[in-house]
Amino acid sequence: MSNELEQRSWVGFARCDADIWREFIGREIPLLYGMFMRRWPNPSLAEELVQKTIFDAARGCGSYDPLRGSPEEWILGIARNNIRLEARKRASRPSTNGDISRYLEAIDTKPLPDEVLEREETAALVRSALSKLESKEQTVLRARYIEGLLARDIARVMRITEKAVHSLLYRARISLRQELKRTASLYDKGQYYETNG
Amino acid sequence: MKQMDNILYYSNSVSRADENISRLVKLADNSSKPCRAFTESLINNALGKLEQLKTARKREELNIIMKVSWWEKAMGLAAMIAVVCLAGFSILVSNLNSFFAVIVLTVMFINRFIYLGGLIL
Repeated sequence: MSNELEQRSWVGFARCDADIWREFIGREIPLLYGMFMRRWPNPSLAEELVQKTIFDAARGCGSYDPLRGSPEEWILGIARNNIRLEARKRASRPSTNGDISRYLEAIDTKPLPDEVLEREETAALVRSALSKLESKEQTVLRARYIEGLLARDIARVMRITEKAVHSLLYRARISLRQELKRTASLYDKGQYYETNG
Repeated sequence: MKQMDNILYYSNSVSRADENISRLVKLADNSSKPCRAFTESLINNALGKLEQLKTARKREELNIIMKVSWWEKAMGLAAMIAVVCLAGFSILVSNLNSFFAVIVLTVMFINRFIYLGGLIL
């Protein structure tokens, strides 16, 4: 992009031009997501922080000054500020030492701490537990939570009714929960690597 | 009440479990990019927010244009007092004749027009 065109686009950005913003957000979301994931390997938290950064930017649209720098630099500043806020929040939280199975026991009542989700063994446990589920259950869980599809879209892809999707999701969640608890207790007892190699 | 508590507990625990399962399953994703559904939904919501802010800003600007000066406010207040006084007076003397009532109404209308004229100018 030539310098003049770039400057014009910055001015459009400062005026909250919807087309320029659409293109800009579409370009920035994967970059911000990658930045947050490098800091804390937790997809849910990364999504949350991306969302917060984009909304902070949209709310402060009028405060962007093209003379101070590019919109990319401006939004990076907002993202860095959100990282600082998150780090401060974490510093004030109690530490999360202890077995994973203890946290999985309370999966129905308490939110899983981010620090537990960010442990390498948690991701390994989830992958292992998922791989032990039926193929249909794996598909529906991945479609719903990883691809973020709605029940009607899953129904179309899997060629089943929407009601069947809900019922399959319900069963898949129960199976995953049971499998996670079983695998986690094996892990805590040190038998995980003996059974999984 | 207890039954209601149970229902609330059940729905809370279901949503909590669902949220936790969602966060756990996402850990199994090896992709370094967010999913398309998330990206699209975020873009649309952010643009919606932007539109809302633009509308609010326009409305604020419009309010500044429509701002009423002090003398217009004073005129309006005077007109209102005059209308109230005349209305009260007309009730008091309504038993006299209908001609008087017509006069009162005419004065009320004139006062109202003066007030509105002040606002427009």
